Amino acid sequence: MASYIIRRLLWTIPTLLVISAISFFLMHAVPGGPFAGPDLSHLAPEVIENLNKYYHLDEPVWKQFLDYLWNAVRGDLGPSYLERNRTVNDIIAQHLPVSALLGLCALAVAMAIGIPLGIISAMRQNRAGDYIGMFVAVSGVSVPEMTLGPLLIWIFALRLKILPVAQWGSWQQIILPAFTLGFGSAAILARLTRASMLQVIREDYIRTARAKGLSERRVTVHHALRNALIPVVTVIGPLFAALMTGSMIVEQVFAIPGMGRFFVWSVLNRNYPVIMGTVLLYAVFLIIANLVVDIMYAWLDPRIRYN
Amino acid sequence: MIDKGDPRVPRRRTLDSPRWDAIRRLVQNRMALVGGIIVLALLILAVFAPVIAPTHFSEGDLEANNATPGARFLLGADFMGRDMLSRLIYGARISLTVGFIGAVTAFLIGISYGTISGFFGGRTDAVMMRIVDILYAFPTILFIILLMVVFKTTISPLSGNAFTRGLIAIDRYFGGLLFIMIGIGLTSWVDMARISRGMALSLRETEYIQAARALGAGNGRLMFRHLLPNLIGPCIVTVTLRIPRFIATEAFLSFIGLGVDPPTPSWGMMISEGTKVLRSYPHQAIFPGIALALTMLAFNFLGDGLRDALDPRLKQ
Amino acid sequence: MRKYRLVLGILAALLLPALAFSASVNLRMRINPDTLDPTLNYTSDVNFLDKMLFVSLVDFDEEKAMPTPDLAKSWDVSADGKVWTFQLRKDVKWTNGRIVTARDVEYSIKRILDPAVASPLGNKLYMVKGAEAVNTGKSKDMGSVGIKVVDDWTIQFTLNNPLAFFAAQVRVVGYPVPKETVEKYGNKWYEPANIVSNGPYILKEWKPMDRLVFAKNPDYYDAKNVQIDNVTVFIVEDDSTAMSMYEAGQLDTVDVPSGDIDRVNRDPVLSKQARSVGQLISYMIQVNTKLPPMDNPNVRKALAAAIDKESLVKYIAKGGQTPMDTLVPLGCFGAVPKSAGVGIHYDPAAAKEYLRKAGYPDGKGLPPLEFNFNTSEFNRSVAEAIQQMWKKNLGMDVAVKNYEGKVYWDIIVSGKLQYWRMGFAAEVPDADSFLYAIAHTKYGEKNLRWERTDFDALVEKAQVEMNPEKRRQMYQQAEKILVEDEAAIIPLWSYAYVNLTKPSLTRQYSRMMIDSIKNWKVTK
Repeated sequence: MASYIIRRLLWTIPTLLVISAISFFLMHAVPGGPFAGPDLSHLAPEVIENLNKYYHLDEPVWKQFLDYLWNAVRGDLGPSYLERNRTVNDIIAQHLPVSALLGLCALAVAMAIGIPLGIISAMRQNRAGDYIGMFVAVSGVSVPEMTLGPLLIWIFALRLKILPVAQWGSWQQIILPAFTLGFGSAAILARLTRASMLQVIREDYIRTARAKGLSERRVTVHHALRNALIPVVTVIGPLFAALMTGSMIVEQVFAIPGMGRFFVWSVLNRNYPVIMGTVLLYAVFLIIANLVVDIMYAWLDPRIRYN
Repeated sequence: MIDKGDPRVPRRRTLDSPRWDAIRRLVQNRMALVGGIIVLALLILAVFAPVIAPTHFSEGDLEANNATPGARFLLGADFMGRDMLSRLIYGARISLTVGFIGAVTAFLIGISYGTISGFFGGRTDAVMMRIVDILYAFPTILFIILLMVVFKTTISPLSGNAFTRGLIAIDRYFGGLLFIMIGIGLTSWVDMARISRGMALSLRETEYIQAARALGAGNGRLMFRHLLPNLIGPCIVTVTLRIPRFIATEAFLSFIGLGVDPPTPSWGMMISEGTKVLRSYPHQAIFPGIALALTMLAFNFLGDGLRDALDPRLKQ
Repeated sequence: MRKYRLVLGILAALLLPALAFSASVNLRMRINPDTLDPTLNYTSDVNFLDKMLFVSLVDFDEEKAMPTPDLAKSWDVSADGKVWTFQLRKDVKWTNGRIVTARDVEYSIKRILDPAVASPLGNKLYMVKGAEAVNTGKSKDMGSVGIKVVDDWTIQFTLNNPLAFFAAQVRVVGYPVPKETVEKYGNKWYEPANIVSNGPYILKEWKPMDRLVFAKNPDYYDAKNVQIDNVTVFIVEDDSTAMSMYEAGQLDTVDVPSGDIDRVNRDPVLSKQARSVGQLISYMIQVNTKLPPMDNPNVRKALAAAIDKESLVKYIAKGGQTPMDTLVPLGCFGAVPKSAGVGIHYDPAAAKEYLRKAGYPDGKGLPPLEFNFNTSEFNRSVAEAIQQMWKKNLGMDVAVKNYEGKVYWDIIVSGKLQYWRMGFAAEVPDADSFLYAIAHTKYGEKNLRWERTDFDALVEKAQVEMNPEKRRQMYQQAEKILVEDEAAIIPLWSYAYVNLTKPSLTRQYSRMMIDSIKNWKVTK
C-alpha cells in the first residue's frame, strides 16, 4: 500500500513537467505578447525591447522554459507582467483561498441537495418521486451558470431583496454564488447516488436484512446507505477540485476576486507567469484529488492493493 | 423425457436474443423513449431548417428590434430584429453539430486509442496510459481556453500557408465552429480511452478471443472484428451522456468571446446574449435556454436508457 | 444648574458625531488597475484614480477646453513658443509632511523618460528637447533633456518646436511622485501601506480585483472644497452585475449596458436618474488601403455609403451617440461642423453606384471580405448590424471575425487585415490628437498604409499654426481628404453612453475620462 502511494506520488513529477511544457509552449504559440496592444503601441520600440529583455522574453522559448522550471522548483513562480507590485506567488496567496472557499461552499450545496435527492429517487424508483427528482437533477446540469447566476440575482437580490447582489466578504454574499456553482454538481451527485443505491438495494445482503424483519428505515440507513455512498464519497475529491478550478463564470458574474477570474484575464492579457502558475496549481489539485480517490479505492478493494 | 407441454397449445416464439432484449428494455423505459423522440425531432428540425423556419436566420428588421412574442414573431425578436424562432431552428443545426462532431471525434480517437492500448497490454499499455493520466490531470477548462485562443489567433490572417488557409475556409463555412469542435474533441477523448482500454484489457483474455487467435486471426482483425463490437455499446452510452456537456462548453466559450462568429445562431451564443438583457427582454434568454435544457435532458435520458438497456445485470 | 449643563454637554458630545454627516460614495470600475503610479499609467480607465491621489501641474477645464492651474499656479511661454515656464504653488504637501517642489517634478519627468523604467508615457514627452534621444537609449545623458529647475518653485521646459497646446499636454505627464518613497519601496511604493501622495484623497485599502477605499486627505491644499469624505471603488467586470448593484443601492452611479437602456428609459424612477453623456472618443472603421479590394477607393466609398449610421445609433448602440461622417468628435477644436457637409453620407443608391464604378456591380466578383473587431458584446452587435447592411444595400457577403485585445493590435499592425473597427480617445480636445496621431503617413499609426503628402503637410502646418481660424481651415481640408476623397477611415460616431446617478449624488461628467471626484457632492 505504501509503495503504491509512493509510486503514484513520484509519477506526479513527470506529469507536472509535461503539463507545464504543454502550457508553456501553447502560450508562447499565441501571438500578441504582454507588451502589445494599442495602449502600449506608443512605447518606443527601444523601450519595448528593454521590457522584453527585463522579462527574458527575447530569449529562445526553450530557454525561457528551462529558466521558468528552475525558478519554479525553488518556489518562485515569477513576476506578474502587468502588475509590477505583485508576484505570481502573491497573486495565488491572495486569490486562491477565495476560490477554494467558494468551491467548498458549492460542494456543501451540492452534497446537501444532491445526495438526499438521489436517495429519494432511488427509493421511489420509476414512480413520481423518481421522475421529479431526476428532472430537477438534470435541469441543474442544463441551465448554464451564466444564466442561473443573473436569474438568482434578479429574484433574490432585486425582487425579494433578501440577499446582496454580488461581491465577496460577508457570509450572505457567499450564498448565491455557492448555489449557482454547486447546483450542477448537485445533479451529478444525485444521479450517482441514485444509481449506486439502486445497485446496492438489489444486493443479497439487503434482501437478507429485510428478511430478518428489520424496519425499512434501518435497512436503508444502516445497510444500504453506507455501501451506496462509497462510490459517491470517492467522487467528492475530484468534484471539489473541479468546482474550485471551474469557477470563472460564477466569479465574473458575482464579482468575486478569485483565481478563475484572474486566469481568464491573464490569458487575454498574455500574463504568462500567472497563466503558468494557475495551470500548474490547478493540475496539482486535480492530481491530488485523483490520487486520493485511487487510494481510497485501493484501500477498499484489496485486489488493487496487492497488485 | 423433456416436457414440452401440451402439444395442442401452439408455442409462442419469443425474441430472446440479447439485442432484442436490450431494445425492448430501452423502449419500455419511458423517459428514454421521450428522450429519443426529442432527439429525433431535433434532427428533423436541423436537417429541414430552411424549409421549416419562417425566415432565414440572418434576416432582420432593425426597427423591430427586441420585439416581444406576437403575431409577427412567434417567439419574439432579438436585438437586430431577427426572428427568434427561426434562429432557434437553425441553431439546432449548430448545437447538434457541435454535440455530434465533438462526440464523434472523442469517440473515434478515444476508442481507437483505448483499444490499441488495452489489446497490446504490457509496455505499450503502460506508456499509453501514462500519457492519458497526464492529460487527465490537465485542467480541462484552462486547456480549452488556451487551445481556443491559440486556434483563433495563430490560424488567422497572420499565418501564410495553404493548409491553414484551407482550415480558415472550412471554419468560415461552418460559421466559426470548426475550431470549437476540434477543441472539444481534443479535450474529451480521454474518458473514452480509459473506458475502452479497461474493457479491451478484460476482453483480451476471454476464450472468445483466444479461440479467434488460435484460428489464425491477426492482431488487426482481432481488434477490429472481435474486440470493437463489444466496446461500442458502452462507449456509445458514455458519449451520449457527454453530448450535453459539449453543448454547454460551446455556450461557455461563446460567453467569454471565444465562440462562433456572427451571424451564426448557436444556442450558446443566444443564451449569452439573452442573459445580458434578461430583465428587459427575458424571452431572448428563456427560449434558447429551454431549447438547450430540453436537448440536454433528451440526451441524458437517452443515454441513461441505453446504459440500463445494455446492462446485463438489469435483465428482467 | 451646573449638573444640568454638564449632562447637556455630554449628550451633545455623544450625539454630535452621529449628526455630523460623513459623505460617502460608491463607484465602480471594470478592471483591476495595473498600477497606481501616475508615471506608469496608460489606461484611461484609471485616470480618475490618479486624479484622486495625485496633483498634476495642470488640470483641465472641459467646458472651456483649457488647462487650469493645479500644482502650477501660473505659466507663461516665451515669444518663440518653445520655452514654457511654470510657477508652482508653495502649499501642496506630501502625506509624509514634505512640501512638493520643482525638484519633484523634474524627478518624475526624468523617471518617465528613463528607459529602464519603461514608462508607456515616454513618447508623450517627445516634444521636449532631448527627450526622445534619452528615452530610446540613443543618449545616456539625462542632463540633455530640456527641463530645468530654475528654483524650488519654478520649472522650465524647452521644446523642439513651438506647440500651441503644450500646457494641456503636460497634464498627462505632470504628476510628481515622491522620490524617497519610490526609491525606498521600489515597485511596491504605491501599495496602501507605503504610499505617499499629495492629492485630495488618501488610499486606505486596495484589495486586488475587489475594491479600493479612499478617505479625504485633510492636508490637501484645497481640502475645504472637497465634500466627499469616503470613496469606495468596486471592481466589477460584468456590466449587468454592476447595473443590478446600482438598482440594489450598492452603487451610486453606473454606466448602463446597452441591453438595459430601453428598460431604463421606460422605468419611471430610473429614467429620471439617467442621462446621455457624450465622449470625445471616435468609433470608426479603419481601412488598409494597400490590400485588395480595399485598394480601390470606390470600394471603400461604397462600404462607407452603405452604412446607416442613424439607425445603428438608434436601434443598436442606443446610448445617444452622435453619428459622424467626419472623424474628429464635435467638441474638439478643429472638428468639422455637420453643416460643412464633409464626408460620405448614408446613401444606398450612391453606394451601389460606387461599387459598380469599382467594377463589382451588385457585389459580383468580389474577393472574400472580412471585417474585424476586438472582442466585446457591443462591438459584436454593431458588427453584425453593419454586416447585414452591407448585405442588404450592396449584396455583399462580408465575414465578421473578432480577435481579443492583445492579438488584435498585433494583427492590425502586421497589415493582414482588410478593414477593422477602432476606437480612439482624445487626450487633448484638439483635432491634432486624432488626425496627426492616427493618419499622418509617417508619424502616425501607419495602419492605414496610405500616402497623401498633402494631408501630411496640412496636419503638420496646423500643429504649429497659432491662428485658430487658419488651423480650423486646415483641419477641415485634411478631413475632406481622409474621409471623403480617400475614405481611408469610415467614421461611425462619437461615443456616448447612458449614465445613471442617484439623486443624492451631484457629479460632473467628463468627456475625456478624466473625472474629478473631488468636485462631486453628496447630499443626504
